[in-house]
Amino acid sequence: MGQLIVGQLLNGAIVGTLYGIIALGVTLTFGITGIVNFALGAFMMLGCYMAWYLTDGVGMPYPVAVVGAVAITSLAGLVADQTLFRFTRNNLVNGLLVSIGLIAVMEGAALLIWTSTPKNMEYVWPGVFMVAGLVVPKMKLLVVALLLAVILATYAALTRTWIGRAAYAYAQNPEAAELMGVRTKLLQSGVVVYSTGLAGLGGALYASLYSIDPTLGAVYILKAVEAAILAGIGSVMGSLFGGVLLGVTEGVGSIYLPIAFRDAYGLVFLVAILLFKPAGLFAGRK
Amino acid sequence: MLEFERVNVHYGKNHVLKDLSVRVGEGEVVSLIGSNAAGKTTTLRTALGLKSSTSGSLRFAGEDITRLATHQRVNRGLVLVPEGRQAFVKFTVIENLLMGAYHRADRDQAQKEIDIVFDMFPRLRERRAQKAGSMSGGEQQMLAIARGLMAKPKCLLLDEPTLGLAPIIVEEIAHTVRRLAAAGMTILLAEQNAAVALACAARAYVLESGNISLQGESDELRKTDAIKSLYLGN
Repeated sequence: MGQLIVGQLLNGAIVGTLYGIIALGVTLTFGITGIVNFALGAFMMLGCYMAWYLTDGVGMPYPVAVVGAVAITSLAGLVADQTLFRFTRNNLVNGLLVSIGLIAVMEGAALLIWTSTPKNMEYVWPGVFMVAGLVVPKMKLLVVALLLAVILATYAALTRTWIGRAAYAYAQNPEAAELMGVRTKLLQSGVVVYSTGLAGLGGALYASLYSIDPTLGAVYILKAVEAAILAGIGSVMGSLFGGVLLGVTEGVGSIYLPIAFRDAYGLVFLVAILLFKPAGLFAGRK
Repeated sequence: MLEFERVNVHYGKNHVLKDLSVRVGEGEVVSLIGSNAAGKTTTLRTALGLKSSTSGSLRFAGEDITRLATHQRVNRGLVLVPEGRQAFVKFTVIENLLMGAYHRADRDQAQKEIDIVFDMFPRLRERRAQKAGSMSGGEQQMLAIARGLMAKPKCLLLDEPTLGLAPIIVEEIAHTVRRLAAAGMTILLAEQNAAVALACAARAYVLESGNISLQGESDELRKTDAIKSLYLGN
C-alpha cells in the first residue's frame, strides 16, 4: 500500500508539474494578451513528437533533442502569433475561436504525419532510486526537477528583472506601461511565444516517460486551465501549486475511488475550492 | 521644442482636433485650457502616439516624430503624465517610480532620481513601501508626476493633474509645476482649471471643440472676457 500511495503521489506530482507548466503559459498569456490560448495543449503535443523524432528518428542525444523541440515549438508559436493571435489581442471570443481552430489543424497534421498509433520513445535514463524501500524511477524525478526549475526561474525573472516588472506593470495598466516606454507589442508576442515554448518543454519531457499520440494535448490544456483557475488567474506560483494539487488529487483519488472517473476528481476539487474562494486560492497575488 | 503643425485627429467620423497648431519652446511652460471634450487629452495622446493623427505633423527637438511608436517618443524624452493618474495600483511607490525609469539606459542607477522626487514630494517618501492603489487621489497624482520625472523628460506633458482633487492639493500640485518650471523644465499643461493653468504658464492656448479659439500671454488672456466668463467664474 505504501508503494502504491507513494507511486501515485509521485505520478500526481509529475502530471501536476506538467499541468503547472502549461497553466503558467495559460496564465501569462491571459494576463498579457487577454485571451486563453487553448492551443497550448497542441503545442505540448508538438513538443512531444519533436523530441521523439529528434531522438529516435534523427538520432540526437535526448538533451539536444529537448532543446531542439523547444526551439521548434517556440518557432511554431511565433508563426501562430504573427499570423493569428496578433489579431485577437484582448478579444477573448476570437482568441478562443482561433485557438480551437489551431488545435484542429495541428492535431490533423499530426495524425496525417504520424498516424494515430501511439509512439514510444526509447528509455532515456532507465533505472530507479530506492528510497526507504520505495521505488522511484530516475527519469520521473529528473522531469519533476526540471519543470520545477523552469517554473521557479520564470517566477524569479518576473519578480526580479526589468522585463518581468514591465510585464507585471503591463498586466495592471497597459497604457501606463506603454507611456513608460515598454515595447508592448514585443512584450505580447514574447509572452505568447514563451508560453508555447513552455508547453513544448512540457511535451518534450513528457515524451520520455509516456507514450504519445496526436490528441494527448486535449486533457492537458483542460487541466491546465483548471489549475490556473484553481490558483486564481494571474498567479505564477499559483499555477504550479494548482497543477500539483490537481495531479495529486487525481492520483490519490484513483487509489480509493474508481479510476475511470479520475478526471472528475480534480473537477470536484475545483468546484469545492471555488465555492469558498470564488477568485481562486491565490487571487490578488503575483 | 514640441510643435504640432496643422494636426487633424478623428475618432471614427468625429473630427476631434481640427488643424491644430501648438508650439512649446524649450524651457517654456504652456497651458492648454478647455472644457470637457474640447480635445485636450486627445492633443496629449496624439503627442505620444497613443492616438494617431489623420494629417499634419509633429516635431520634437527638431525631429519629425509623426510616425514614431510611443516607446520611441518616450526614448527621446517626451513624457506624458496621463489623465486619471494611471498608477500601477498593485506596485509600491518605489516600484512605480522604477517603472518611470524603465526606458532609460542608466535605469539601474535610478536611486539619485528617486531621492530627488522624494525631496520634492516628502509624502511619497513616507509611503515608499505602500501599494499605490491604497493611496489617496492627491498622493497618486504626486506619484504620477514623480514617476514621469523619473523618466528624465526633456518635455513633460501633464494631463489634468488637478482634476478631482481638494483645493489644498491643487495648490500643492500647482506649486510643484511652478517649481519645475523655475528649474527650466519644458512643460505642456492641459487644464480645465483656468486659474491654475494661467498661474503656472507664461503662455496659453484655449481649446474649444478641437479648435484653438484664443491664444496668448497668460496675463493678457486673464483679462479677456472669454476666459473670465467661461473659466474663472465671474
